[in-house]
Amino acid sequence: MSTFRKIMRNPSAVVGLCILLLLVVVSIAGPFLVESPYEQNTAVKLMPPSAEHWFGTDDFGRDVFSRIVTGAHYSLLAGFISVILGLTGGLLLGAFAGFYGGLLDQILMTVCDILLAFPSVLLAMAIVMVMEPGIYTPMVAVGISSIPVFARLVRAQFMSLRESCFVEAVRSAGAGDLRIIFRHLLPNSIGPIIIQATLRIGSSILLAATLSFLGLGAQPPTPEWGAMLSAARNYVWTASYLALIPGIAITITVVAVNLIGDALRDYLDPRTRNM
Amino acid sequence: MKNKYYLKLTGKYLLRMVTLLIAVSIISFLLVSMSPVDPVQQYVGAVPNVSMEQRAKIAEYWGLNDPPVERFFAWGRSVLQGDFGVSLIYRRPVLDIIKEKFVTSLALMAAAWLFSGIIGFTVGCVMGAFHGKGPDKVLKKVCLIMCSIPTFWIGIVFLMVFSVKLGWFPMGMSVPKGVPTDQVTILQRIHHLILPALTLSFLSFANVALHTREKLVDVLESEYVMFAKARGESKWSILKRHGLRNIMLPAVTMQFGSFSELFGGSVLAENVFSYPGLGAAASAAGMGSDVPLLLGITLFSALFVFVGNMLANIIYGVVDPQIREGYRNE
Repeated sequence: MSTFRKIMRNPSAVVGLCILLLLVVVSIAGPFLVESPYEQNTAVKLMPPSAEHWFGTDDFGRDVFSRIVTGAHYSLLAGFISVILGLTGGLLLGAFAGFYGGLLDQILMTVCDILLAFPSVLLAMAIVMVMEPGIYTPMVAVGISSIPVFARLVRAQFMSLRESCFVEAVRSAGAGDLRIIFRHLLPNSIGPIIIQATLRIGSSILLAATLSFLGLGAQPPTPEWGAMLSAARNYVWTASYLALIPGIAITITVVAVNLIGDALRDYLDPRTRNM
Repeated sequence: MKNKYYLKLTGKYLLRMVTLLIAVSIISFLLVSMSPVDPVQQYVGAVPNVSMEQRAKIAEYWGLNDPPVERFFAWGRSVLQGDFGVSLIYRRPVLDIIKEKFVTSLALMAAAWLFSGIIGFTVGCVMGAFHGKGPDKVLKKVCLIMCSIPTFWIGIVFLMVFSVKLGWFPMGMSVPKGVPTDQVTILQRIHHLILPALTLSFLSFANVALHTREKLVDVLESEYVMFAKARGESKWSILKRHGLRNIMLPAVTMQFGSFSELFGGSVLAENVFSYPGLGAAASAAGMGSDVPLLLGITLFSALFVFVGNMLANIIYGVVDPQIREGYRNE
């Protein structure tokens, strides 16, 4: 609890957490409160923001505010699902590679290095191509593409810890490999992993939105923010709010997550703890 | 003695490059053969009246019925002979397309790379020098927000503000419409380049600045800087003689290591501005399931990233005498 309280002393973390909580509430309750994000009304096509349509209407006369609210959960889910996926995969691979070392370690790390050498957009694009298209495809692709990041980090942590005295102590007390990995090594290396995971949520949201923007993720008429931006490109002359609003929504979400991640890093990183 | 050392170094890099390229081709070939896309359907496209027999013949001709390992070696053989196949979208040899598009992209990437490197490094130094004080706090917040903005969105915003509203820059492409290639002036090209390059550098600018700041703070908190302060060196002199020299190396690593994200960012920047470079070709190949082109670009981007890292290693030796000694003693 004291950890949480100390982090909460950082004003940017409080701001980030408030925004994130608000977004979570909006994405859960919002869809029940706004009108249908799919309902078309050609009488009010491309109307600028007004009292009736807070964020205006798009080229099909759909209410942009409803679409932004209903789309919120896609971005939040994209961040969390892909990080959980990448973290789980990276944790398993990295833990075994770091703990056992040897040939397995070398092969795994070579593959990781190769995958990390690719631009993340290109790697995620390649994975999307292999899978069935759909709204969850970019989330899974982003998750898979972040496995090497976590695997490398976990491996480095485990490598530095596995020779330490406390591991020797629990081993001589009769603990098995799995017990050492999950009860002793993992809790001791969790700090940097949490920091990386939090910061990765932000970049995963960006990457998933990017894939949808390129047309490789959510398809119209799904109110996903990246896909909405992509559709809005045809109206930069006439209805600039259409392109501005989803971008601002993405930015606010990612800023909130990154503020929390930055505060966590300041707190958990021993070098900056005294600041 | 010296020649032998360089020969050894070159050999080491060549070996590493060959291993990398082989591994990349195996992985990407594996991905492609797992893809649910039917290459024959993709090739035939919208052409009507292609009978089942004709499709089977195309599949037979392409060797699609052979086992994957055999296909991989067949593909590898022709790649080694410089034949990367014919692109399905552009209907031209893949290698020609890559050559042509890369030249266009190179101008864009180089401009963005220099811009984000120089400005990012300077801003990072300012933040580091004012560590914990007003300018540092404000600039750090700005950088954190910049990291959170989608690249493609900032491109669209630039387009709306500078092209649509102000009319300072063209709406996209790399050359003016309706002008023969040989009559396009260098100024016109630069004019078309500025907005995409700004967009692309936006991606890495904040990262470079934050990274530089962190390193400079580390150096300024070290004991030798404390000693320098005790000797009575001025702040500026400490920054110049201890700070900058010690952060050059990580800055070089960062800058040359950013080739990968630079290439990834160019996919987006080129997409938004319809800039006809390699990044736009990559996303077109991805969308259109153009397997030969995608494989070619993948291999090429791996090579590009590898060259970046290799340059970083070479420059280390030039910048830092200690490392030069280390290379020699190996």
